[in-house]
Amino acid sequence: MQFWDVSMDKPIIQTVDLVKRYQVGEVVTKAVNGVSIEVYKGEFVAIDGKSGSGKSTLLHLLSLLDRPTSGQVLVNGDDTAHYSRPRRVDIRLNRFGYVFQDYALIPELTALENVMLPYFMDTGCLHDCLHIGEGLLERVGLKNRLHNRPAQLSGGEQQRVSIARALVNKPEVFFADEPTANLDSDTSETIISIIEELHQQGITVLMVTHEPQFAQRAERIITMSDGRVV
Amino acid sequence: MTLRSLRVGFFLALRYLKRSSLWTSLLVMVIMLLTFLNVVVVRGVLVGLPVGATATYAREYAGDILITALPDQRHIDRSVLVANTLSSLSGFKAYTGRYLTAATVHANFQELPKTGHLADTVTVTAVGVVPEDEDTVTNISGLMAEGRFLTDTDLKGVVMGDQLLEQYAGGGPESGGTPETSGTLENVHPGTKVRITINGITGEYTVVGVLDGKVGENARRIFMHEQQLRSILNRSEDKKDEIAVRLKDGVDNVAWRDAFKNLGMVNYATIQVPGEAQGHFLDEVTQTFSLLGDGVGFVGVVVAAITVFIMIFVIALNRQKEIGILKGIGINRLAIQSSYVFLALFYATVGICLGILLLYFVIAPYIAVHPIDFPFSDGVLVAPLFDTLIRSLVLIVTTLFAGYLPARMIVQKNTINAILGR
Repeated sequence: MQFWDVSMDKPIIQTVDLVKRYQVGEVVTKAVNGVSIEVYKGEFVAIDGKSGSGKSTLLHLLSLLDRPTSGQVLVNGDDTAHYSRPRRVDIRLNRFGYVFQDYALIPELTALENVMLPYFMDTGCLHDCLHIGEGLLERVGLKNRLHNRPAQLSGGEQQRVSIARALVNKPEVFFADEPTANLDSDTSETIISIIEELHQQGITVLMVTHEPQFAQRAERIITMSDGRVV
Repeated sequence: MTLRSLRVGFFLALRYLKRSSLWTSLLVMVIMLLTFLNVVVVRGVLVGLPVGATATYAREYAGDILITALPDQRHIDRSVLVANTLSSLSGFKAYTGRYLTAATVHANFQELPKTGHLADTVTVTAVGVVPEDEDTVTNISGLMAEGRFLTDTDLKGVVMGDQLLEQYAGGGPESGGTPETSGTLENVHPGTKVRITINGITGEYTVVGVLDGKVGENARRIFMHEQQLRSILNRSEDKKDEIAVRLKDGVDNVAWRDAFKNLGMVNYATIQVPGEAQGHFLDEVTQTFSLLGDGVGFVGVVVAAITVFIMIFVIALNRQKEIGILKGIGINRLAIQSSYVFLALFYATVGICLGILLLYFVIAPYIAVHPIDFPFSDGVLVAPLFDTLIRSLVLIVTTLFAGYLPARMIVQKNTINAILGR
């Protein structure tokens, strides 16, 4: 069986008693405290909760950006604890797409270059990258902003570039950390619509949000408080 | 995967260079340029000191070939035969024959010495030359600090080496010395009359010039017309002490010396190129300066490594968040690290290329025309292209490591902490 040959009745991502602790001086904070969840292929799951509830930390752990203090993150039933660093990087590159809260674009690169970078890393082919990057930016409505750098784009445009970048390697799981934060309502609506579209195309979506009206657009909501699922 | 990572690294470095501040890039390249010059030029000048000394020795004194007496002889035997044979070999241009003897020069003889002081005298080597011949070989007339060189009619004229005179060498009353301790003569200029005693015969001569040479042999000599000196010494033309030979431009003096020796002249004289005539001491000085130059060069390379390290560390530190983002979206470490190595290599390569252009098209030609005026030689720049390329390569390899280390340190930081600036 291929690693990503996931059946519908088996969770694509699962956590078992997941804990993430931070220690600053003598103060220990449990950002995630014994979380066990399952996410199935093709689901659109929203993780909501108040600020500081641990939802972003959970997303970092689920997307293999960070390692848990204890507990397990299973991807297609496989415990990722023993994954090497290059393997985790490879999964983030090829199978996961991640939209960061503050867009997280590379300031020296144009919109097109930001989008094509993961594909270039995956294939090494610059010509194809440009073609695919242009297509994705057109898809998120930024065809006329290909050669603008992040500083020349509005917040909403930057977030759309970030979404296009997350999609460039055709991810099977799309993570979005507060994708509408700092955006006006119209722009937020545009972003959520794009994410819904992705879900309709069969991509598994995990979206962190503290805005209930956007969380309700998901198929399922996981609510967090004080690092626990409530 | 490795090649792909390097391509991505190159792409990122190129974009960074293209869009970073021009002034910052220029500043870094100038630093690399200065570092290169420190590694290559400082050593080149140091090594150039003894090389320049040999060149000066050849130009002002020895010519391309210096012929002296055999070790067990007082003079060059069969001097006329030796001199006449010179022109039989192709490549010969000119020669000057010299007669040497010990002499005492007495200045200020019109005045009585102060109480307790001896007369103002120095012991010197007197050299008898045919003025025109000497000038053809050593261009001595161009080395005058005061006055002029001898002419063919100056039978009672004399040229003094500058180290015999108080105003050039010090040691006189002005610097607290006395004539008998200084070894220099006071207040002697062109037009001054001096008494010279040679072989027990004292004559009065007029100083016509003061020689400002850089070769020690000349600095404490006096030059007279050879006719005058030979008549005092009653020496035949066949008993010269030195013959300095000038060859035509481009003639290999070592090969010419060997050919001349093979004509049997080695039986009558010691035949040497200037480097040999100067003796092993200068070889040792050259080696010492070369070692010093290597030491300075090594320090230069270390400074370059530290400079590049700090530069890349600061750049990478300021871009921690971007590095975190790159890792977050799946760009591997090799790609990120190599982007900084490419960046460092770019700065180093541009700095070195500018340095090479500056060195070979500005500094070296300038110093060749205007040698550095060191007291004992005209300093030249010794920077052979092959040596320079080797040093450039060492600098580039050093840069590679110095660029890699800080990038590696920053890239190792936890991805999320880097992105969130924790």
